[in-house]
Amino acid sequence: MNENRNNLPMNPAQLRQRERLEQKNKAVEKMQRQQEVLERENKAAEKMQRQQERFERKSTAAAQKTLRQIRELSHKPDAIEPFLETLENIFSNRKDVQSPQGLPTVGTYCVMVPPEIIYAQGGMPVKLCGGSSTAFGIGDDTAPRDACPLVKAVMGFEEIGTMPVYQNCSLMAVPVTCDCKKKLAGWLEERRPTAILHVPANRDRDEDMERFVGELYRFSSRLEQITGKALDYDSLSDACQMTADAQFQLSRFIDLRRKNPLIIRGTFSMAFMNALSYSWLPEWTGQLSALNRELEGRAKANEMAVKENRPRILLTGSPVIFPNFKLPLLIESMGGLLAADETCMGERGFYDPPAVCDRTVDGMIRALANRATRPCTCPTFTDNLRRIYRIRQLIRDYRIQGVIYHVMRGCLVYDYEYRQLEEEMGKLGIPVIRVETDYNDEDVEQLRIRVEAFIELIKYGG
Amino acid sequence: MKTKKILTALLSALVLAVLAYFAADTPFFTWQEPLERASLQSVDDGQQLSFSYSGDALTLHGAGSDVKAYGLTLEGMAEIPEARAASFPADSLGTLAAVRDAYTADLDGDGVVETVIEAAKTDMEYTQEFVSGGNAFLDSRLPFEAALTDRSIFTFTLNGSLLTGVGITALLHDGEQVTLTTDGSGSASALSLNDFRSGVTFLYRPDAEHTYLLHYLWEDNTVFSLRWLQAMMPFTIILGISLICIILDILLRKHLYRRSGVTAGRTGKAAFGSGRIRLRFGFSMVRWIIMAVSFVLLIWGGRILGTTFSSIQLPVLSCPYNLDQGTGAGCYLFSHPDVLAGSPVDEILWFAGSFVVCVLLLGRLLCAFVCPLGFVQDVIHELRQKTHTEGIPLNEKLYAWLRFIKWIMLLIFLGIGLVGGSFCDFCPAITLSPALAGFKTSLYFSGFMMVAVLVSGFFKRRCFCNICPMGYLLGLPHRFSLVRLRKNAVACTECGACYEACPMGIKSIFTVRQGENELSIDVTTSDCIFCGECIRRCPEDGALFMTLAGKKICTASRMKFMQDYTS
Repeated sequence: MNENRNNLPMNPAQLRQRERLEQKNKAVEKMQRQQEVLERENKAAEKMQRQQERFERKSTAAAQKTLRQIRELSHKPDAIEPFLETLENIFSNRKDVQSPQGLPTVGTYCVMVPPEIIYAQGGMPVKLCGGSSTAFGIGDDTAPRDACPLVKAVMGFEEIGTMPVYQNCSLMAVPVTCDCKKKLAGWLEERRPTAILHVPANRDRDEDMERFVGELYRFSSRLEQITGKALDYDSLSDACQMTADAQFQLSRFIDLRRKNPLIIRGTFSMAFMNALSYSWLPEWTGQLSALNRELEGRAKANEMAVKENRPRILLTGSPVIFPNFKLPLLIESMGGLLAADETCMGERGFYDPPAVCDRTVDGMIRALANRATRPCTCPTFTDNLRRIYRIRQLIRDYRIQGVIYHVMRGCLVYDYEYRQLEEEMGKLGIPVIRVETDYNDEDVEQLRIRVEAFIELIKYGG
Repeated sequence: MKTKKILTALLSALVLAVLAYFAADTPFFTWQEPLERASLQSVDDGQQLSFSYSGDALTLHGAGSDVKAYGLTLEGMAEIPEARAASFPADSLGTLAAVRDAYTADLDGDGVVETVIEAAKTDMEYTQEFVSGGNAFLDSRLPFEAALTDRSIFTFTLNGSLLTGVGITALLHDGEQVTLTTDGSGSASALSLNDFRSGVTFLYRPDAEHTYLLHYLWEDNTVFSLRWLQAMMPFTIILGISLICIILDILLRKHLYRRSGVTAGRTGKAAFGSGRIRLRFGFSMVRWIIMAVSFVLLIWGGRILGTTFSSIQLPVLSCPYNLDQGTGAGCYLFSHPDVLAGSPVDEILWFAGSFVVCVLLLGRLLCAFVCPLGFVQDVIHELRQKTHTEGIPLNEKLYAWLRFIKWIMLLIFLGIGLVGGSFCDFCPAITLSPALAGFKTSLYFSGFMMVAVLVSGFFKRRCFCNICPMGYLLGLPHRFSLVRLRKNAVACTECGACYEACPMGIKSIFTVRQGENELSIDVTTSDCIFCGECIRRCPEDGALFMTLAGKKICTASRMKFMQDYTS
């Protein structure tokens, strides 16, 4: 009977009541779902926060450890302290980079991005190539297994979102160099405003150069959207002046560094070159000038950094990025002398000056394009014999006795060039050792044995 | 594609050749009605029979009733009645003479009374358009005659026949006496342009009974006067046209940039003033000083130094139409084989000798240090640097194109004289050097060439040097030159700054890495003008250096490089 009644067609008032009831049920359900999502999100956020806190703790500890090790090295010049403070502020205190008017920062990823253009258009360039083992651990989950630690670290920094240097960037400038950087560019483009610069794979043809000049003009247009300042002669000329002043001080430093016996440990020089990535250029120039003055004074007083008979080592290969100072510190602590380095986060990244032959906007852009590609010894270029010549010149200038070739795990391009270098060094009778590692501290003891053996080999002859 | 390229190449070669051949029929600026303004009056002031100039007005001094004045016209010698003329007919050739009736006197005081024939002659070189080469009457009414045939060479005739192997005394304006001895062709060349600009009296005594006196005056041009400004007019017109071309080019390019969308920086206003020029004593400054000095010497050198170096036939594009230049011009004889073949042996020897010596010692160093046309191009390039106007950078392809044009130019340069043309009607150098020295010279296709040289030189440093046939000839035997450009391949980072700086587009300088001695590879090429720009822009210590006879004269240095840039 009841069923029958239920099956009877309902009057319109009943129908309306029922619809309302259903709607109410739905709303409640929706609310429940929303609450669940919120809870999940909260949980995720809590997890993220915990992760961030853990990251901050760990990365601060790592940075502090490296800084302590650098500070503990003997014969530390006093003028090196401002550079170490810069590194400390960025990695340990997690501050943003300091520019005079709080200019928008532009993150750059390889030496092919000319900082002059960014300075000219009212930006502040920051080199974002990462060397943190903590960030590397986070990026390990995102990047494929064989990707290089540098890219993994960058991805880690980007995902954890707690480093102001990375977070506050208004624009990312990624030159397409190696495969990892290429994919990194695409990955970043999904998250951030990104300018991708196509770097020619070969630079001997004029057309390739001209294409890169066009690429720089496009980059400048992109910058203009961010900073609102167009490229003009005066500001570009001033910016070139800024780098010229800095490079003048660097050249002074190089002249001092070539002295025999060595006047400053290579680790210090790598530290201040790393600090350059996060410094306002004129400030860095002033700090370096102070360091030069101190070193000149020491040279006069004959206070050399280390004894003459220590093996003079050249470190080359994949970049050594703060806080991953494993290798330089090992070399110094095992009785070797890091006399020179040929890595893109070291001296080489800022070594080549733009030769402005034509004092016009176009002339300067051409000079910058030339500087960024032609003398660059990055192994991502198809022909790179100039790297061998460069190393030979360094051997001559710094009286190098042994070469340590740093290969980051997954850094194929540098690994490719090892064989050629080994052959050339064989001709010159300079021992060379290939050291493959990543940002983990686990292999330090293994490395220590190898580096020690290598230094002994040079010392006592093999 | 390839056939198209060959066709364009052939077509442009043909166009160039045709332009060169018809250069003389393409007037840019010609001087007209030259003699109408000139006038002649005579005064009987008892002086020696002589002419003098005051602007366009000529005066005949010592003109008594026994004096007859003559003018050279297309028909020959014409008498000027009463030695007076308000203006000159159109067929005048700009040479005047006056002869006094023969009289007897004992001028030399040897007791024998001689028959004296006193005469005066003048060449109006500046009142009219300047034409090089001597005018001669060769008429019995002027028995003893001297014709200025070239710069300092006089040819003497007596009654129409050449005076060979005789002694002639020249009394200079300042009282000095010079004895000339004529050679087999009746010529003597012991005087300089400056001597007969102020008047010289030739005295010839064939025997004790005869004495011939001839006062010769070459009209003097006055540099930096109104007349000089007049001579500079064609070049001023060239400058004006070039300026208009340059401005149009800049506007057009800005328009194109705006349309193509790549605007950043390129379309902005040219900036003035903010680029400091750092004066640093070095190779570059030495080069500028030498370049400026040789510019002065090659244009006014004859006035300053006389004819000391006039026998040297310097193989650069300095113009032989400028009789005041310090040295001779080798370019003229290269492009006029007919003239060369007809020259006296000693001139041919001088020509060959100076070419060989210049090539062996210096090579294209002359282009960067001496050539006045190069100096002009460098100045206009600096002008662009000062205004920070965007230039036109060339690449390999365009340089290859210029190289092709250079070969065509070389063919024209060497061959045009054989087919009846003159390279001088085509050569841009003729527009500046004679005008600066005050010679009014009619310009044919050269005027257009000079506009092209200035405009292209403004946007591309020393663009004409890339197609200069004289420079190419100088550079060809570069292997023997004492000046070498060398490179230390180990120190070189292949940054390409040298290639960017090189006005001649020599790419091998930065790509060459292999050589006998890696530390000192010879990178000199036939194009290299040794301007030293590559060394100046080289940031690597000792990567590039220049040697003179094996000794380093200029070496790249990082600190020197840096000092050019730092504040």
